[in-house]
Amino acid sequence: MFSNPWQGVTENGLASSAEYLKTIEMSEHNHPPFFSTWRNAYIFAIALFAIEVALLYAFTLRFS
Amino acid sequence: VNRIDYIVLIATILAIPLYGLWRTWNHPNLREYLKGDASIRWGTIGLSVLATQAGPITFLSMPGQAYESGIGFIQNYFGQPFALIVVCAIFVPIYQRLKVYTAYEYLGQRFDTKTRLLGAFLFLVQRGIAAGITIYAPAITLSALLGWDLNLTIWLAGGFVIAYTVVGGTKIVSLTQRYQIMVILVGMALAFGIAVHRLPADLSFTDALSIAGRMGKLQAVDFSIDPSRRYTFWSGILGGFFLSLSYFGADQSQVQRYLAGGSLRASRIGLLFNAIVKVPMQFLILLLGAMVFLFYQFEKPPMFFNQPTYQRAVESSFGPQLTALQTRFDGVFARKRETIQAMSTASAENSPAITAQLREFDAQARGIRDEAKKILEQAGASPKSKDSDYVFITFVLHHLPHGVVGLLVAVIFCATMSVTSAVLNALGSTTAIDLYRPLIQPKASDQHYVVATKVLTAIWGLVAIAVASFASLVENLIEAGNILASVFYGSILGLFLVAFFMRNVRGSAVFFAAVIAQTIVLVLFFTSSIGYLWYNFIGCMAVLFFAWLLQRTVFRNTQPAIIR
Repeated sequence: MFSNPWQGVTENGLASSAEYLKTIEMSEHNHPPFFSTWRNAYIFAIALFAIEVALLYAFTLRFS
Repeated sequence: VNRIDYIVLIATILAIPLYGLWRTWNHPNLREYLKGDASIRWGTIGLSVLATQAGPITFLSMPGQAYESGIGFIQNYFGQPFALIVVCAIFVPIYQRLKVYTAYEYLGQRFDTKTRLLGAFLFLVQRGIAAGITIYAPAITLSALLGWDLNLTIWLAGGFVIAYTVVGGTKIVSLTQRYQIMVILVGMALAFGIAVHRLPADLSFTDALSIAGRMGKLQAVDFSIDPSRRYTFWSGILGGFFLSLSYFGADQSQVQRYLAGGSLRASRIGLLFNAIVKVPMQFLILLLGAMVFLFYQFEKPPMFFNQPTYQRAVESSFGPQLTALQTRFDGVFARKRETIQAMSTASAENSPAITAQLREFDAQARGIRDEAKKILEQAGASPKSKDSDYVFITFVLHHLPHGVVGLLVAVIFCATMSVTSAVLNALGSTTAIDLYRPLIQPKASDQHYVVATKVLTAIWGLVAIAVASFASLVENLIEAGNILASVFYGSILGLFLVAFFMRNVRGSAVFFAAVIAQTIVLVLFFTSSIGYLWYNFIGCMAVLFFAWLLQRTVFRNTQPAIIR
C-alpha cells in the first residue's frame, strides 16, 4: 500500500525520484553545518530532544 | 497602565514594522513577494517559524494553564521534533525542487486541479476564520482589563498588520517576526525574573519549586497509559506528531515561512532549530505560570480574574451570593498561606500530612471559583473566554513595574501581529496562486499577480477583522478555533501523505477520499462526543484508506503512474 516517496514518479513526472534525492543530498550547497549528512543532523536533534525529556522527567521526580 | 507603559507599547509595536518597511520598500517580482529573497537566512526562518506558532493565545493562556492544571501541557509538544524531521526530510526537498509558491500547488502538480482546489479551499476556510480569532482573543482580554473599546483594540491589532503585510509580502513578514519573537522572549524572561523576585525573600528558588511541586503543579512528564489522563507522554508523542505534521507540512502559513529565501539548507536548519528549542521555550512559559501560581499563594488573588465580568455580576441581584463566596475564598486563602509557612519548618515525618492538607485547601479554592463561575452564568455575565486566560495579564497589570507592563502588553500585540501577518500572507498567496491564477487570469504578467496578491491579502485582512468584530456572538470562541483546526487539518494532511507515499493513487481517488473523510469528520463532530484532537487523526487515516480503496475499485481503470 505504501511506497518510498522518492521512488517513481507520477505520469506527469513531478514526484521526486531516488536520483534526485541523491543529487540534492550530495549537493555542496545542501550540507548541514557541523555534520557530514542530514541523517546525522536529524539523529543529533532527536538525541537533544531525548535529553530534554530526560531532564524534564528528572525535574518531575525531584519536584513532584 | 500609565504614560511610560503607553510609550513603551507604542514604540515597540510601531518600530518593528516601520523598520521592516524601510528594509523591504521596493517593488519585488512575484517570486520575491511570495518567497522573499536570498538574504533570508536560516536564523530568520527559524525565528519566523517559531513566531508563527507562538500566537497571543500562547502567551495569555499557557501561564494560566499552568496556574490551573500544572505544567503537564508541555507533553503536547513532544511529537513536534519528530514531525519537523519528517518535514525536513520529505516535504521541504519536494517543495523546493518544484519551486512551488504554495503547498497546494504541489497537489495540483502531483494529482490534478480539483485536488489542488480542495486542499486550498480547506485551508482558506479554516485559516480565514482562525485569523479572526487570533485578533479577537487578545482584543477581548485587553479591552476588558484596560477598559479599551473592543472594536478599537481589534483595529489596533489588525489594521497595522494588514498595511505592512500588503506592502512587504513574505520578506517583511519574516523580518518583522524575527524582531517580534525577540521582544516576546525578552518580555517573558523579564516577567519570569520578576515573578521569582516577588516571592518572599526567605524562600529560595528551590524551595519555591518544592512547594509548587507538592501542590501538583510541576509534573512535566507522565508515562501513564491511563486514557482518562489528558496529557501524557504517549498522547503527546502520537497526537502531537500528527498535529505538528499537519501544521508544518500542509499549512501554507508555515510552509511559506520555511520556503522563504528558497534555500533547502536554510529551510532545514531553520526547522531543526525549532525541533530543538520549542520544548524548552514552552517549558519556561509554563514554569512562569507555576511561578505566578506560587506568587498568588502569598499574595491574595482575585476570586475571579476577569474582574470586569465579576464586578458586573456583583452589582446585580447575585451580589450577596458572590460576597458570601468571597468571604469563604478569603478564609481558605488565609489557611492555605499559614499551611505553606508551616511547611518550611515542618519535620520530615509531618511533611506528607501538610502536603495533603495543602492540596485539600487548593481544591477548596478551586471549588469556590467554580461556584462563582456558575453564579456569573446565572447572572448573565458569562465571560467569552476562560478565566485562566486572565491570570497572567492580571499578574502583569497589577504586580509588574511600569514600563515592563507596557512591554508585556506589547508582547501580546507582537504575538498577534506576527501570527496574523503570516496567516494573511499565506491566505493572500494561496488565493492568488491556487484560485485566481488558474481559474480567473491564467496568463497575466508577473506584476499583475503581485498586485492581485496584495489586493487579496488586504481583503483577507478585512475578513479577519470582520470575523473578530462578530466573534463575540459565539460562545467559547478560542476553543472553537482549536476545534476548527482539528476538523480540517486531518483531511489536508491526508492529501499530502497520499501524494508522497501512495504513488499509484491518482487525482480522482484522492479527491473523493478527502471529500468522504471530511464528511465523516463533520458527521462525527455534529453527532458524537469524541475529543476534538482525534478528528485530525481520523480525517488523515480516512483519506489514506479511501484513496487506496477507491483507486483499487471505482478508479481502477485510470492510468497507472509511470515509473522511471
